[in-house]
Amino acid sequence: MSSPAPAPAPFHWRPRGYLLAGGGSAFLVLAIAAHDAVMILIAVPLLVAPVAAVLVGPRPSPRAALAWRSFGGTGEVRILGDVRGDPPGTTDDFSLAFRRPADLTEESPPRVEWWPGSVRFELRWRSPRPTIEVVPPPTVVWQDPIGLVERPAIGTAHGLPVERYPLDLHRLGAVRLERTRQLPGKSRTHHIGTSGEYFGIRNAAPNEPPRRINWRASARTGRWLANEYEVERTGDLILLIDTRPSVLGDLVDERFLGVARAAATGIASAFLRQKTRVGYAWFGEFLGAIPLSTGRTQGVRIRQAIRATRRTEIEGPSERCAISLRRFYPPGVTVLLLSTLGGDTACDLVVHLRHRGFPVVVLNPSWRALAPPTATLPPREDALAERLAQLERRMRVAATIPYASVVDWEDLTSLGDLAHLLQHPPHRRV
Amino acid sequence: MAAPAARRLVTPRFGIASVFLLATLGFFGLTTVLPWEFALVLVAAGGAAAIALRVASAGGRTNSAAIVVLVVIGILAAGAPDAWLAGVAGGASVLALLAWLADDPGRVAGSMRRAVPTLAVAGLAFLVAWGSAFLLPTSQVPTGVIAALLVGVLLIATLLLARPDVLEREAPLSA
Repeated sequence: MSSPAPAPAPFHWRPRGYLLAGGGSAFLVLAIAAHDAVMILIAVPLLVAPVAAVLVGPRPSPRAALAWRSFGGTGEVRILGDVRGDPPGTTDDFSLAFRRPADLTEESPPRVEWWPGSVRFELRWRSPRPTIEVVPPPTVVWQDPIGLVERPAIGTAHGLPVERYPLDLHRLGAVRLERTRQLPGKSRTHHIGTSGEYFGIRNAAPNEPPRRINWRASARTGRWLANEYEVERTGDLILLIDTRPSVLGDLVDERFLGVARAAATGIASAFLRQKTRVGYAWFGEFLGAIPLSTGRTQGVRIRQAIRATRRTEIEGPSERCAISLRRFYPPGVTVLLLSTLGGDTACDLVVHLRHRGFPVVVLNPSWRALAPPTATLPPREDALAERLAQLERRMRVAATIPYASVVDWEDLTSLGDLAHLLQHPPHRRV
Repeated sequence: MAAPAARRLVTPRFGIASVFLLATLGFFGLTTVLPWEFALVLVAAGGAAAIALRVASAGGRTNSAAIVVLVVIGILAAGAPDAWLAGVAGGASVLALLAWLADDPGRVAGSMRRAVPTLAVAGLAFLVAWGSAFLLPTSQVPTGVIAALLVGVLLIATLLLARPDVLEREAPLSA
C-alpha cells in the first residue's frame, strides 16, 4: 500500500517580488499621471519580471532527497547533510532553512555550499546537557535566481535523532531493585520451589533443567514452559515522565523534556540489560503507558515511545494519573518519576501515586541548570531571582519528601546520586 | 561526506554585474536633463551605497540595496526627457538591476545564467513597450495601450498567485 502523495506546493512571491512589483506599479501610476513614456518603460520590466519568474519556474514541484547524519562527542553536535534535487537542475536554486531544537545551542551559523547537483550543509550546535531531541529536516525551498518567487520542494526525509546520555548509567546496571510485592493483602504461596517462592510461568530455555519445567502447563499449551521463582528476579520499574506544563515556562519545560528523555532512555536500557521488567508511562492530560516487560523488543518499544513523548498544553489532574497507572501496572512496582515539580499539582502526583500503592522515587532536575541566562536583569536582581527560585524549588522538594525519595539532580550530567539511592535505599522501601 | 567550505561574499561575477549596473545608471543619468555632475554623483553615491549594503550584510540587505537603486532610477526618471534614448537607458537600468540581483554572492555561481529566461521575458516586454512608444506614428495611443497591457499583466499575476493550478497539472506522485 502506498503512502498518500504530498500535495503540490504552490508558488509564493518573496518580499523582493513584492518590492519590484510595487516599485513598478508606482512608476506606472506616475507615468500615467505625467504622460511620461520613459517611466512606463521603466515600469514594464519591474512588473513583468515577477510574473516571468513564475512562468519559467519548475513544474511540477521539485523534489529534495536529503541524506544527513550527526557526529560529535559529549556536548558537541555536528550535523552534515547533502540535499539533491529532482530534476537535478533545480538544486542550484535550492535554499535551506534550519530549525534548531530548543535544547540545543548554536556554536556557529550554518554553513551551506552548493556543489554540482547537490547542496551540502554543516551545522555546529552544542548540547549543554543530556538530551534526546529529533532535529526536524531542513525546509527546502526553490527560489528563482533573482529571488522574486519561491516554491517549497517536496521532501520525504525524517527527523535526525540527537542523543546525549548522562554519565554513570553503567552503575545503574549493577543496581538490583527490591522485588515487587503487593503491600496490602499480600499472601505467601505454599508452593515453595527449590529456588524460593513461586513467582510465575515463563517460556523455557533450550537448556532448562527438567525439574524447572512445568509439565502440566506445557501439556496444556503445547510448548515448553518453566516455573520462575522470586529469588531469581529483581524488582520491576516504571519510568514516569510528567509532561504537563509548569510555571517555569515553555522553554524550561522543553529543555526538561529533552533531559528526561535522555535519562529515561538510559535508565531503561541499563535495567533491561539486567533482565528487569521495565514499563514506561507519560502523563500530560491523560496517561500513556507501555506495560511491564523485558527483552530487546521492550527496549525498542520504550525507546520509540520516549522519542515520541511531547509536552502537553493541558494539565491533567494528578489523581487521574495514579488511577490510570493502576490499570496498567500492579501496585508495589517502584515508580521513577521524572518531574520538575514545577507544576501547580506536581507534588500532589507523588501523594496520589503513594496512596495507590506505588513506591516513588523522584528524579528532579535543577531549575537553574535548565533555565536560560537572564541578561535583562541587573546582576544583583538576577542573583535575588535565582535565590528565590532555589527556595521555591526546595519548598516543593520538601513537600514531596514525606512521600517519596527525591534525587536532587543538580548538575544534569551524572546519575550517580540516583544509583546510590537505589543501591542504598533509605528506611522507606523504594 | 566532506564539510562544506566557507562561502565567498565577493566574486568576479558580482563585480561585473555591479560595474554593469553603475554603467547603465550613469548612461541613464547622462541622457537626462539634470546637470551631469549631479547625475553622476547621484549614481556613484547610490550605487556605492547599494553595493556596500549588499556586501556588508552578506546578501541579507539586498532588498534595501534594491530600494536604493530604485530611488536613484526614480530621481533620474523624473528628469528624463520623453526621448527614445532616455527610454532605452531607463529600461536598460532596470534590466541591469535585475541582473545584479540575480548574482547573489551567497549563492552558487551561475545564477545569472539561470536567470536568463526571466530576464529575456522582461527584456522582450520592454522592447515591445519601447517599440510601441517610439517607433509607431503616434505616441499617445500606445501609451494607453501599454497601460492597459500592464493592468492585464497585473491581473494575470494575481490570478497565478491565487490559483497556481491554472497553468499546472501535476500528476500524482505515487500510484
